[in-house]
Amino acid sequence: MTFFTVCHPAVTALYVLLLSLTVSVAFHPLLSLLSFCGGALFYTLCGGKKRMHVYACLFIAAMTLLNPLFSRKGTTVLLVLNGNPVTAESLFFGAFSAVTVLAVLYWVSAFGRFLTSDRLLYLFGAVSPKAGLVFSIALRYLPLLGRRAAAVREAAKANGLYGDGNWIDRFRSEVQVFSAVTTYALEKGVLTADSMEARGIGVGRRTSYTPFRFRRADGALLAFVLVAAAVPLTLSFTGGIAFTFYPVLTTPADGLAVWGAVLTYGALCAAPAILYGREELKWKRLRSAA
Amino acid sequence: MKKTLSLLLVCLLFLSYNLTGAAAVDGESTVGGVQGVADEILAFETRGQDVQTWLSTGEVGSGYLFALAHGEYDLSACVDAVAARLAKGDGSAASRRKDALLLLACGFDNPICDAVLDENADAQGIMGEIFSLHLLNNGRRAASFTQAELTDRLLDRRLSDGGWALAGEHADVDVTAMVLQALAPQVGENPAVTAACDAAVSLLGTRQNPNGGFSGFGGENPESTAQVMIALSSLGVDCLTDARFVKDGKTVMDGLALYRLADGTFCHEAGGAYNATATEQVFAACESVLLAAQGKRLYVFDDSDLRVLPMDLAPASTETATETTTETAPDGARRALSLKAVLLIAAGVLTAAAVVFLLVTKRRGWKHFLALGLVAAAVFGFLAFSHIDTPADYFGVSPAAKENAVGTVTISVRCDTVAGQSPAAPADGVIFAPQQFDVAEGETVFDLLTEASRRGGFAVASRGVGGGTTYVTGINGLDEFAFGELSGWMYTVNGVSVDVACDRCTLHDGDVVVWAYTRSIGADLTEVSA
Repeated sequence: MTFFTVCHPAVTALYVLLLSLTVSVAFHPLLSLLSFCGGALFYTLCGGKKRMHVYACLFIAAMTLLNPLFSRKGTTVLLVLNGNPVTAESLFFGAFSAVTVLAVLYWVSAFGRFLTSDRLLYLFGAVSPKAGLVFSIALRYLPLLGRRAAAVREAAKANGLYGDGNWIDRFRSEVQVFSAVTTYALEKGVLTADSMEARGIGVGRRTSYTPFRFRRADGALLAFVLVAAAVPLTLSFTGGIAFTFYPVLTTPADGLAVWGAVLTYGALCAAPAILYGREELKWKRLRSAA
Repeated sequence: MKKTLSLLLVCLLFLSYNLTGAAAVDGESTVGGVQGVADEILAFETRGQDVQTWLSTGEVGSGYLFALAHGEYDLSACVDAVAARLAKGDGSAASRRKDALLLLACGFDNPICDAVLDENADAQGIMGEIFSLHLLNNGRRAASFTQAELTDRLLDRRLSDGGWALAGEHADVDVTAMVLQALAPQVGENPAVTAACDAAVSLLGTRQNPNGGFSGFGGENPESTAQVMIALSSLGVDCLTDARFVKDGKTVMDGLALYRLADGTFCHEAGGAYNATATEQVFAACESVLLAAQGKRLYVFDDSDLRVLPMDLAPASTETATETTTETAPDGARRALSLKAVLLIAAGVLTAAAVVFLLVTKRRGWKHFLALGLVAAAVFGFLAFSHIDTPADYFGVSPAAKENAVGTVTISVRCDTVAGQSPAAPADGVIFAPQQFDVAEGETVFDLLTEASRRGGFAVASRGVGGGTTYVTGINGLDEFAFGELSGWMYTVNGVSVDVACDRCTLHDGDVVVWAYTRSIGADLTEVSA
């Protein structure tokens, strides 16, 4: 039981939305770096895969090295490659964009484990019940298809009908598996539709069951999120923290605005890890006391 | 009534159009017609001023100077620019010799007119040799070769078809004509020269187009025709009546008439706009024909009253200059190689590290190694086939004098429209002030920009793979779209915006190239230059 497992889905969704939105709107390297660090930390605390960090490093390296090959902007020439300049600004922008993308990726996948399909259904149900239903069915069906395909493959292997001697054999066998899975999906679709109709879907107005309660803690968190995101968002919309990458890296003249944005956004990025860490500490203390 | 009147008007219009059209085609293949063409060009260029007043401005092209040198004009105002170029000491072997010749044309003498002949005497190229011979024809003397030796050298360059070219096995009209201009004074004295010139004149006769014009550098153009006219008149061949140069009643003047514009000036391509080089060369050609009637040659000047130019024009020791270039070239190559080697070694170390990582983490499937191998091969291949230079090696290098230079062109890079509004845009709007460069045959505006970039130390960013696909995205860090979605770099050649990719637009002697930054696809550029 951690903070976000009991947190109201709307607050959780708003949190991840504002975290990602701010970093993509502000387009400031300092904010992106904060977001990246906070996101990676929270992702690790939530039990994310360590392999993700390796991929992240590779992605940053690749983007940094590849961006100058496609973007010849900037004035600080480091190398001349086939007559075209490789500039420091271009390298920096490559690293920056990779860090920004990864930050959003970390936040979405970390918060994703708290935004389960029932919560998403609840969130979307408020806007459009039909869209919410389709969305949740789709979310369930994609992994289901994968599981079904694995089952078919296993069955074929057990019966000696799956040839994996070389890639042509395997391709042929996979086509058969795909055919079986497609037939299954079509049949299952008809069955599901019949089943839903038999249970009276679309008959009259639907009521919904909401197991989520908006607690006082949720209200406090919502207020914090709104305030902490409003500062950097307002500053980036008014251009107070507009960072320019080309032709020369230029930090905005208003240092106060930048520090304001960095502090508030930093708090926003650190909060999930702190909330999570507090729960962990409490749990450990309770365990050692027992 | 109204109908009759309009009909009458249309008829009148048609008639007058026909009359002027006829006048432009006929009646010029006479000495009077040639005089008329020259007079109209001069009237246009002087913009109604007195010719002497125009010459006093000092901004007069070399073709006009060579032609007017034979008249009763004072060209001393024009000598400053020539002297400045000579004193600076750069430029190709050919352009320096041409400048020395210009100095004589302006009525001045200076020791450099002799000294310039010995610069790179053994590697002056065919163009250098042509202008060297012109200088010798004007009484200058070289220390390292005689007129006879130089003449033999030019005769040795003759191709099997009897003409001359910069490269290849087939004679080029322009180059053949220019060689003839230089050899002309020796015709009748030197039997080898006489025979060679006779053969070359016959060759030129066969190269004349049915409309009377000549083709060179890819297509028919008035410049080639003009060069032939200068060659023939220097040799004493009457290009208006000689049977070899009258094709079905059409003479060179009829060939030129196709490029003549309403104001008497000339364009480079049929249907084109005013071209300064074409107009200048046609003027020189017309004057050359008129001079021939007086027994004079365009490039042989009256040396009876040469004044000594009281300046020390000796360039900063050319020997040391060549020495430093030969020294720095291998040094630069070595450093570029080492940079590439460093990158290759770094890639190798990374690959080795990845292999070790795969082995240690027990990922020993062949697929891992195949993927790694493919990535490594791509990186190594890219590095191996790339030119990688440090900025220090790449920039600040003046291109060596070109052996096959066909002339000089001027290039400048400006950003007046956004001057001072970006860290990449200088406040005075000048990224590269006008400078002259040698141009070899087939060299394009993009080649020229690259040379200027290396000399001027500003980076040029481009996209494309050559062959008409190259697009310049940024110069000196000032990029397209930096000032709105209509902003970017455009270029003009002789003031005319060209509608082809910059690596397809080939250059000709005397072209003036300007790269300018626009905020609205060129609409703001005329405003700035005006």
